[in-house]
Amino acid sequence: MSVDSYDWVNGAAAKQVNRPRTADRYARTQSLITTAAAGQIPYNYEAGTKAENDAYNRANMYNQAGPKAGAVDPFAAYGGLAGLTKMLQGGGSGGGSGGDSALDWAKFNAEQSAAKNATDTQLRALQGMQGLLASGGYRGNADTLLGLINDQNTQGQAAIQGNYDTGMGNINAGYDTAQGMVNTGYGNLNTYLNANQINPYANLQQQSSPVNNAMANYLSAYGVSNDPVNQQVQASQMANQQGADSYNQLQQLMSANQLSNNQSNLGLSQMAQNYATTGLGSQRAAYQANAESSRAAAMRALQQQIEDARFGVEQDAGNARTELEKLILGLGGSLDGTFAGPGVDGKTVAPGSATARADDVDSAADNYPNFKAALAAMNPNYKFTTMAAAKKKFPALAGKF
Amino acid sequence: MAFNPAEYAAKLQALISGFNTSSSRALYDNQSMNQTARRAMADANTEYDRQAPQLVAGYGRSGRNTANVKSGAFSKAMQDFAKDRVDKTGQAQGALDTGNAFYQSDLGERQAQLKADQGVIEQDKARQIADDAAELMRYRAGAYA
Repeated sequence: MSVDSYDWVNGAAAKQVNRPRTADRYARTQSLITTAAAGQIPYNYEAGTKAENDAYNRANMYNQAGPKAGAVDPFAAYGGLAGLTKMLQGGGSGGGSGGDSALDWAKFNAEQSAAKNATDTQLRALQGMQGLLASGGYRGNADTLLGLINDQNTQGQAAIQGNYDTGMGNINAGYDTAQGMVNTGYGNLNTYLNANQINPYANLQQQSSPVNNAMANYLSAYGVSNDPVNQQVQASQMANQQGADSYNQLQQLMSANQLSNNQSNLGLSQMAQNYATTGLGSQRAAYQANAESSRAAAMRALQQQIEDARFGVEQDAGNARTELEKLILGLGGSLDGTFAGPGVDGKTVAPGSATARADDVDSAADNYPNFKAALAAMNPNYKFTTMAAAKKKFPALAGKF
Repeated sequence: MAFNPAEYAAKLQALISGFNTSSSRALYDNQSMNQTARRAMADANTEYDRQAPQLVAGYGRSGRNTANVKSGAFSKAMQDFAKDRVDKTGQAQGALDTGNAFYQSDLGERQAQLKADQGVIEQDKARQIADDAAELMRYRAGAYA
């Protein structure tokens, strides 16, 4: 066996870095490495004759026990023998490409196929995103949420109006009840006053009792004249009458005062009734104003709440749209769909800017009186059958009406 | 404070009771006054009737009042006696009439005051009912009050 003087050893020293640097020695070491890898004494087939090579084979390569279990793999650092073989076939620095092998062609084809699959996948994703943008699908459940918000708005307004109507009904009923009570109370007072318009002085008339000459007959019996006595009778009568007249004058004065007082009481009663009625009216007006103000405030609060909710939904939809547009542009697509080719469903993406179409959908309610008119204008090729089918086909547009 | 019918009735009853009490007292006083005055007048007339013959007899004993002699002094004395009787009884009657008139006046005034006081109670009742009505209305208005 002609072993090169190359300092070759089994085990860890048989590494690529220890490989000879010249071509002739490289050829020799190729055999050395191969035999060493087989667990035999390193042998250079290039240097030996055929007989020597056969002898070596018989002695070392045939009917020999395999590598011992647990033995250290001398090419573990190269990924085993296969790794080392692959490395020596072209993976090393300065090595050839080996591209003309069937394996390489298969590998190349596989890579091309994978790349194509990846490209197709990306294209489909891009088309899907463009379709999402064009159809308004990026809005997700925004229209459903807007519908719920609209329902909430309707129900909220109905509840507020219901509370207002109930409150106004109570106020008016309370006013009617109160007015009835006032009418009853002051009606009773008026009835009393009218029934008791008495004037205790009206019939008070002091009558002067007559003064008599009780001795007229007596004086006449003695022949005495009654004239002086009669004069006294008249004087006494006059004195008494003067007293009665003064009294009667006083009664008339008090009677007049009483009548005036009675009239005043009646006036006061009517005034108090008017005052109470006016007060109730003012009270009712104030309560009604409070109810109206409360309704307006509640409506304003509800509208603000609804607007905030709508804004949040639209903001989320806008953000989703912006993100979608960024993704489309990032994948090399265009917002009008021209770079995407046929759509995922085999149909060509509709011409025109996807952004513009999405805008059309957003503003459809402002531009068309109803869903059907918007559908006819924006999708002239759609064959309309039923409203339900059309709404199912175009949910984003339907959500605008 | 809501209208209280029991309190209203009690006020009216107290008012009427006060009026009845004072009226009864006034009536008693007036009747006593009348009785006293009429008795005094009757006593005075009796006294005048008793003194008249004595006056005539006195002038008869002095010969100034006989069947043939009618002195001027006798006539004047008799006329003065009669005038005094008319004057006294006239004054007494006038006082009695005035007393009765004032009793009637007082009764009327107290009755007028009773009605006025009842009117005040009725006014209070009506006002209280009106206040209650406003309060009830406020309750009905609820949160809008």
